[in-house]
Amino acid sequence: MRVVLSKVLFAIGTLLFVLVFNFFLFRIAGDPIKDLIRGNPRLSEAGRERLIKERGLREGYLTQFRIYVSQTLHGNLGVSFQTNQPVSTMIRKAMPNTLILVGTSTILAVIIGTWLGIYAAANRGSPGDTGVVQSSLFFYAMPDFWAGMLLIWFFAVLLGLFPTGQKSEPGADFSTLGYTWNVTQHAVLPILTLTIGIVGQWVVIMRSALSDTLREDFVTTSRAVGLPHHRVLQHATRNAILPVVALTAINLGFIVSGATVVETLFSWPGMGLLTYNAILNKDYPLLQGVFLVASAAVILANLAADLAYTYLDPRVRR
Amino acid sequence: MLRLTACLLFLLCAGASSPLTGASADSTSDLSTDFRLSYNDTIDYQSNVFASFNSTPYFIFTEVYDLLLNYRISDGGPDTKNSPAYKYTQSKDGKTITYYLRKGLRWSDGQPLTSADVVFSFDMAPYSNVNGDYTTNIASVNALSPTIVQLKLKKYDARILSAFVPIVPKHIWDKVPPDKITKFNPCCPMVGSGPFYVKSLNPDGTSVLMPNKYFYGHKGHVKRILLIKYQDEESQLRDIKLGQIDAINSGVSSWATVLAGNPNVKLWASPSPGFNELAFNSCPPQGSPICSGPAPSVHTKVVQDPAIRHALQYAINRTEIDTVVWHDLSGPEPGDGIISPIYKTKGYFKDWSKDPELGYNYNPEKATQVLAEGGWDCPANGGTCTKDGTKAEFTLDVLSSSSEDQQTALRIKAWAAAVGIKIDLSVKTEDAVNAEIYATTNSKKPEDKGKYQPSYDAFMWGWGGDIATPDYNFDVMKCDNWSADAQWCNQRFTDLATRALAEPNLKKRVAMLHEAERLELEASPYIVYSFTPSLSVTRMDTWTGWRPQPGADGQPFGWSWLQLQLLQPGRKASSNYAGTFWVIVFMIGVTALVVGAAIIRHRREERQPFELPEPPQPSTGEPALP
Repeated sequence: MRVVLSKVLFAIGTLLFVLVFNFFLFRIAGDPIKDLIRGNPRLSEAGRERLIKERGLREGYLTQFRIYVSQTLHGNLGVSFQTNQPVSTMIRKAMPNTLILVGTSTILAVIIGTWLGIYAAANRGSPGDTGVVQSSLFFYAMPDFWAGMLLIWFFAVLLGLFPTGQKSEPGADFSTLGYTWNVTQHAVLPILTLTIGIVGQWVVIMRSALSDTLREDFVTTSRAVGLPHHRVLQHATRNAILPVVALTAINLGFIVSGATVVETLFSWPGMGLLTYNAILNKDYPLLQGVFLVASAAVILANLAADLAYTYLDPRVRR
Repeated sequence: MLRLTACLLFLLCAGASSPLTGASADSTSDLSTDFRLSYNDTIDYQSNVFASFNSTPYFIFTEVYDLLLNYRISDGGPDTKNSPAYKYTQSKDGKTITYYLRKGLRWSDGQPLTSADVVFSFDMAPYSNVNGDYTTNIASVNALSPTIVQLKLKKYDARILSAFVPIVPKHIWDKVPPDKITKFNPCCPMVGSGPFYVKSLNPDGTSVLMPNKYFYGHKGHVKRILLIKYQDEESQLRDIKLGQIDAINSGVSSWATVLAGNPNVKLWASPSPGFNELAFNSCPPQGSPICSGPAPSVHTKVVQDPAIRHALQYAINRTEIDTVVWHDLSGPEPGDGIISPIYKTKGYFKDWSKDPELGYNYNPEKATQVLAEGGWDCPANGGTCTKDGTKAEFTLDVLSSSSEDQQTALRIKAWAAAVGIKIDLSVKTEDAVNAEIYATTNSKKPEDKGKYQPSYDAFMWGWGGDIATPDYNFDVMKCDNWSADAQWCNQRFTDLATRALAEPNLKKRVAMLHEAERLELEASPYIVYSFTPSLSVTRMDTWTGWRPQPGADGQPFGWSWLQLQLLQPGRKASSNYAGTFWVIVFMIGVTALVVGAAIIRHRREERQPFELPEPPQPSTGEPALP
């Protein structure tokens, strides 16, 4: 219980640090008032003053910080400079798109990566093992945008099987089922790009952990008592799964922050794209909101991983 | 197995008949009347006409709202044939303008459009973040009748007839107080009087504009406008080549090479009202109305020396910049003045390259001569010139976001080095450059409060301008303009530019502007090295009959709604991907492969004989553990 409490308190502390850091980070990056002078040359003096006042930029940093903390703690992430919409609404719209994309690819990567890792460990040293490990590392090392461009070229341009980008067919009027299917078609290539980019992590971790486990005495004993090969593997895999669980939990945190490069390449309106546009447009409230949500997700996922470790491995509790 | 085969067959049949697709397959036939425009900027401020300043919202405004007098296709002048006002009269002194509206005008929601809407729109303009400065000379706007509006000006204003003041429906916009008008969300439907209204606005996906059934003007063939958001330019280029979009509202100069020889896709390049410049820190050491003097770190003796500026004017090969960096897209006139060739038809443009005194044509020998005459001692065997112990060197800030600027800067650096001027390039973000230009002064003098103390030597970037007149290009260099980046102050220049705006006689007005331009060229706070080309891309087969504006060298859309209304439908477009049937076949194929491999693997594993792992080998030289 004490261990759990200390981990929870540490997570809360980290979150508070992020809250403070978030505020000052973007103010170090640039002065929004100076950007208003040049960013919109048609803006009159009166208009500029009005905007500065509306955005609270004339206030001192401490006053701005007090307002920011108070609003954030009340669940108000502010209003976007660019769109005039509440930041929380924009995040709420982008989040499901990101979960579809990054969530699905993470699940696929976990399943495929773990399966390939088991295969490689069970056939260590074989051509199959070499092929799996080398290709996983090859795709892991390949930049996302490059993999995405190749997939677009092959599946969309050459074969014409999938659309080149967007979340759904522009302007089409769909039934619910038709829309779901259309989004699925549009999601295939970005999901594939993300999956082949991250699957290598699970392959390597699973292979390494299982290879170690397969050398342990209980495995030899299991084989000696005549258990079939797949049953032996099952037992060994359960014992080797801990690092995979930790890796998955940590990656779950990053699902929320989106995949900026892939979302940009495929014009997929998720959190990554939201962040990218917020940076381009120097939309500080939006950036603060996105970073806060993404950081909170990572912190919570780490906490979950810590707690899962504590539960799965009694040695951690000591 | 039989059941599996039956399931597969069923799915294939289902795919072939496409019941799942809803609109996917049908959409192919709808696309022939859709105008699919892609963009990669942002629809900012929910496309609020009083707040948005990006180019895509401006396209929306062109299709949804009218100006009192829209811009004419042939020359950008007032178009009485395609505007809510079919006639206007102007008093002799030009200070009273009376507009006569067409009878029976209606908004897209069926409400009547009257002079009350016009008065409301002009009354709201000062509260705008984007077009408030067009109405500063207006003394009053009155509705003389439901179809007659009268504008009274404080003084003559050369740009009032072309002022960008869109007419908005009062019954929609008067729900918010004037000071909150920039925060109002006018969508959706976004009601207007133009040929389209906005049905749905999705800044992250596709926004849809539908025809306004009450529209008074020319009925076109475009039945729907789809504004499709893209994030990167290369994707836009790929998709227009594939025929998935009809047009791109901005382009990249390097596309000129990529699209050369493609008969179906055209890159439209035309001079924009703006220019690209190398700006020197010109804040006078004694200060000006907006700055207290250059920061101590500035190489003032170099960047404010006329000989250095003039030598650089001669050392820069503008033709090469146009050819190599801009792929010959910035027009035949090499840039050096501050009035773009886009104003040629109205008589404003002057090609200074032919001027014997200020025609700064590429001439390195002349540059060396100017430096010598200016007292700079330049080593004969190369190296950096010096004057009174000061080396001719300075730092040039270049934007990290502009590859064209970076390419140009590298060339300028080499040309400058060849005549004895050393330039250190510093690639920076726009934020960082802004911070140097508009650095707050450290001066404690009361008269310097709130002024700038610019800390840069020189930087490169550009200005955009107004469509109808070049006055804006002069505004940015006036002594009291707080946006002025070079912070040069020449009172005569400021007076000339101010007087020119109020001069009704075009000939006199042009003469004043040219005199002001001459002052700028003499002092050279800016070295204008090219006129930024406006670039857009269209397919030439899905829609035909493009009408560039203004004139033949203009842009194919975005200036007036008439441009799209005159388009003729071309060959039917397609979504260019296979759709349901082949996707299902592909997915079933992949699934079958994976499942098959898993089954084979499982069976092989079951048959695998039991093998004991080899015992670990003891290390050499050490006894094995018992």
